[in-house]
Amino acid sequence: MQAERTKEKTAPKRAEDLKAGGFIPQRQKGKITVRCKAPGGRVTSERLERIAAVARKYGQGIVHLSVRMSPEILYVNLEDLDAVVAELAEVGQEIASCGKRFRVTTGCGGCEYNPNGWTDTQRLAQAATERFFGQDTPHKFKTCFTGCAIDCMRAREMDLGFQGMVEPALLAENCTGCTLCVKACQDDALRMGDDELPVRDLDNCISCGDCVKVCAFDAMVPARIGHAVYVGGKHGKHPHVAYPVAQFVPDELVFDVMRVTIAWYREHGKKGERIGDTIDRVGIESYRRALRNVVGDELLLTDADLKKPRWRSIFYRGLAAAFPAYGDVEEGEQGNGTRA
Amino acid sequence: MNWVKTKLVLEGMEPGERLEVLLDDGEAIQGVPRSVRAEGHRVLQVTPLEGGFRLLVERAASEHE
Repeated sequence: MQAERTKEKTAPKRAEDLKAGGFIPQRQKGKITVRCKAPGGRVTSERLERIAAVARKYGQGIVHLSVRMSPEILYVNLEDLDAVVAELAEVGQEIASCGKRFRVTTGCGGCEYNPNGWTDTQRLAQAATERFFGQDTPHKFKTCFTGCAIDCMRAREMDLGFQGMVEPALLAENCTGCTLCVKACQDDALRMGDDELPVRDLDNCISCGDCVKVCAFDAMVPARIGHAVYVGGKHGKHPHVAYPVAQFVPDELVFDVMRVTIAWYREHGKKGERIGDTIDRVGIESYRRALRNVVGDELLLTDADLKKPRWRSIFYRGLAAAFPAYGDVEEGEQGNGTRA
Repeated sequence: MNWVKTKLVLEGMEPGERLEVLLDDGEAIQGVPRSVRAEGHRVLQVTPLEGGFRLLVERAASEHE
């Protein structure tokens, strides 16, 4: 009786339906990969142990950590999917998704536990996923929170990426003129002024905060911390680097930015078209107008901003056009043709 | 390695004792002042030198004493 009822519930499903639910058909007939949800790549020991147990019981005891930080249980039989879901659900372990929808948000350590992080990427990745996960969009919609200029989460490859940035300020009364900050800056954005205090070049400063981190006297301090916003990035067969569209967006506006971006995408995007391609097709002004309603003129990046060294150095769209042509290999430089 | 060495020396000192640390330009200057302070010690002075810096550090009181 039990076996028959199970078969009824798991009658052959369309691959598309399966994938919407985070179940990915494998090469092997009847085998499914189960994608587990781990916003920010964060998993409790309890859930990890249950994932391992389920993998052992229903799969082959193998878990793959996906590029978007999801533990994926391999080699699950189609007829066991309901049981797998139920046993994972017992410890609150949910299933992620594939397909044309908001995906699980990824995130680095951020300021919660990484000394370099400026923004609380873990908290935001959890909250964003809770709020937006599974919402249908014209095509897949990938988001991330990355905590600083180092950008471990590749914000510029996201449909919508958020990157921590800090605006330093000088408390002159604490400054000893030691020049550590000037030396620490890798972007030529600090020099010692005539009064033996550091002076910042706003066009060069990339808001990485290295000067703040290095200051031993609490003289260089964070005046403002927020997120740079990038839209329209993707990798895949036709990679597209994201457009930087806003800066210093505070935590409180992050969900409004996500909401308005998803709404714009739904209004303008064709089915199967990533938002970067939508922007290229309809023009970025339409998107910027929508974003401006949320972040205002002060945070919206303009053409003048993008021409500054600071944004040119971190915005490499169009660089391919400037790549030097590969020349011919000169005589005598070729190898002897033997392979390792 | 700079911080590891510095930390070990500091640990072996008495609270209030001072340590002079010489650092080369580059990675060391990013990490050491910050780590020193995170560990609870005080940076009294930072002096630029040719190709580096001199830190004067005061060893903090031990937490576990």
